[in-house]
Amino acid sequence: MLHLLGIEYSKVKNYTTFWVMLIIYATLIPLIIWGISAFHFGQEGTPMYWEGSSVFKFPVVWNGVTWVASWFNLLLGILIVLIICNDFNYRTFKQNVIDGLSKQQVIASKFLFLIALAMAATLYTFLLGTVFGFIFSDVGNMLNDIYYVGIYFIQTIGYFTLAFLFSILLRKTALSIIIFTLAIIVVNPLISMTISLTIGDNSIVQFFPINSISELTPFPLQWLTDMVQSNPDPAARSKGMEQVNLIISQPIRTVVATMYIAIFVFLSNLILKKRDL
Amino acid sequence: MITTILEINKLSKKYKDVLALNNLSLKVEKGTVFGLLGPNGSGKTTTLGILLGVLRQSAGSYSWFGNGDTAENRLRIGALLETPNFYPYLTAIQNLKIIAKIKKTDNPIDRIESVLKVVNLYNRRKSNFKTYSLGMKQRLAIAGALLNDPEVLVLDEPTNGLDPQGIAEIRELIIKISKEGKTIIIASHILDEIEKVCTHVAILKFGDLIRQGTIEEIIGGDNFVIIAANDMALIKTVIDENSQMEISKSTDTEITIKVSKEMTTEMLNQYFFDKGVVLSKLKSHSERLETQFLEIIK
Repeated sequence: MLHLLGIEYSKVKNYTTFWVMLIIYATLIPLIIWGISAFHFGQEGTPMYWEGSSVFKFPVVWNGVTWVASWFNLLLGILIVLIICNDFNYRTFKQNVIDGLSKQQVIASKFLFLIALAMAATLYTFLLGTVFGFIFSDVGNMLNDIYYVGIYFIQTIGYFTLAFLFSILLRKTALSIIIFTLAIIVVNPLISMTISLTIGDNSIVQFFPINSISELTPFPLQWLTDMVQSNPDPAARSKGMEQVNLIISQPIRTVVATMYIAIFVFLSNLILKKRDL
Repeated sequence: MITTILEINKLSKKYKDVLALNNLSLKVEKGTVFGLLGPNGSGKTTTLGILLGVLRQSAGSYSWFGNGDTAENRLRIGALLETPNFYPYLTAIQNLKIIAKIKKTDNPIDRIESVLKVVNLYNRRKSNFKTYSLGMKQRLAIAGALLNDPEVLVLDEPTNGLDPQGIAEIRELIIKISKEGKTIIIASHILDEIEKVCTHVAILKFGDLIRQGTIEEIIGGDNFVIIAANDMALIKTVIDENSQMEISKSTDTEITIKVSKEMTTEMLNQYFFDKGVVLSKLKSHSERLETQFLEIIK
């Protein structure tokens, strides 16, 4: 296993694009958290008032940090597409097999790398959560809600396995990046919006693959409830709470997302088994 | 001790409507330099692709070292298939390090330096692969094949893209490696190349095995001689009179004749002189394999 991971690491060790994208990821998240924390809304002392930094206090910080980090899953997903398509473009998947890896090992090494990258991203989010938590609050019950970090790991794996599926399906870098990105930021939101507008709520679309994975690190629920509750109109308030109550619970969503990940992995393997490299 | 390095048993590969390889059976013995010959599209690369685990056969089987078709076998094989495949953003050393990791090479740094010297790329070892010329890329691929000091070398068109000097160097390298007792399987359509280095050949055409044997068996007991004279018409009548000679190829300026091996150029010269023909050109044909090959695949 370490042998395969070592081979993958040699491929990216001197690959500038890889490190530049990681640096962008690592820089933007804290910058944005810092930006949100400086933001506040309404008049201090009134019920409508809330300040951004409230999401980065222990223990809500785990939800807050992973929520922000999840915006950049797309970036990391593109990185995965890039790395996999490179091996198709340079015919180095073939070469790796010629040199002595089995087809299964070649695929496994990419999966291992994908898991390693997800672990690195998760660890980084954990560090950010710890740092910002300490900046905006005291230790207190810091480890409540820590499960968000674990869920963030599942989420990145979700994005990465989807990226993997698109890459081995399409093989061409530019095409895969475009379709992967469009699916996430255009096609899925458009379909979801149309369906939820038609039926009047989110009850069904939240089970869609991309939605269930991206909603693993939701817009902090407490914020949402606070905002709804702060609405002075009681009718709007109860209607809002109805919507909030429709949101599936985190355990169910996690199971659904994990199921989709299993499907992505299964499909990828099926394609790779049927095709010559 | 194993003497059979590779055994191929009724191997076939079908691409949709095209039968790229049809029921190929072969055996390659240890220490031979085995040439796989055939025109473009005859199934040479398909065969090697299957043997190297890159393509899946539609039917049949093969076994390396009597050990089946497992990936571990390939750690003992150095191979170059079609194009040189490397990461363009990495240097020669960085690229070879990846191969060394896959092959679990001992002392990778020393081995890398030594193979880069063998293929004359040591001075450019720190340049990115993308800056290399075609010939340099090909030489790096050969370096990659030699890296793990393999028992078998599989080379697909190894002199592709090389200049005459590079071709000569690679040819010498192949001969040198074969003298170390290693087995070499080489696919090429450059027959001169095959004739100079191979001990055994197999000839493919449209996926079928047409002929196989030692190079002597293929070339046969015949000699080919090129002759010319001022009166070309007279030469032809003289040749036709002699049942031991046969015109193999004829142009306006010269005629290639097939004669038995016992017939020396000296005897030929004497024969024509006696018949009243003074030859202006008389040389034994060095590209015997090419002449035979063209006859075989007709």
